[in-house]
Amino acid sequence: MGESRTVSWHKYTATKTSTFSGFGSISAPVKYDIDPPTIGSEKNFYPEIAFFVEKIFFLENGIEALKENHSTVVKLNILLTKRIRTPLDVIVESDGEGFIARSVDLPLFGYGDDRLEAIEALKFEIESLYDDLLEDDDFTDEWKAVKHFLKEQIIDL
Amino acid sequence: MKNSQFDVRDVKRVGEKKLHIEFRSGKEFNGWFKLNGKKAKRITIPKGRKGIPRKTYSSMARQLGLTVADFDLLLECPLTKAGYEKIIG
Repeated sequence: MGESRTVSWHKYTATKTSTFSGFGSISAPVKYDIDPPTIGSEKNFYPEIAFFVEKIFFLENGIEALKENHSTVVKLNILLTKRIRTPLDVIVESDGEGFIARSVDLPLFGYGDDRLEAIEALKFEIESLYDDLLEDDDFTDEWKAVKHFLKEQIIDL
Repeated sequence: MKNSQFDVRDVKRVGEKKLHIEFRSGKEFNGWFKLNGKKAKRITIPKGRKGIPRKTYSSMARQLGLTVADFDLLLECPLTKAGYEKIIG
């Protein structure tokens, strides 16, 4: 452990972006109610440990933000049985007693009792639309463009 | 926005009766509106919801290519199939 590294916290308050395995990265309005712990040097922690402590602190705040009713933007690239080459932006926000997940690029949404259920419903919708579009070619030009887009983007898992 | 006046059954019924949409029953109800024989709009109706939350209501309107005000009229009855085709045509 000869290499010394100081871990800074301020960069996370600026970027406010985290990555969840499972459905890509999440941008959330993360706010800190307490001052982050000071991790000054390797005198207190090895750099690797400090790095993970820092990550955990950031993720905890991200989870708190998600529990509240903030709108979040999710990068969706894993569907139920398929994958998307370029992640789709999805806005997830509260709607009545549940949550709605809306695709920015496609006219699709999913509704659920919680955020994850809404995202899962949207995943189903994307695959359902894709299947519909592959059935035949009786679509308007607008949908043919969507079909072309999805055929390029979707890969079977 | 008159989402509180309608539930998902109303939307499905109007879609079927007025717009001749055939819904496929899967996890949700999905159906295509055909314009001049081509599939032009695709609507999703979430199952099992009595009331329709505001954002879901406006999302369904957007799927049909309508403003929320026009979607209100469609569900209330004044907007006919011919009127709808004129809007999206």
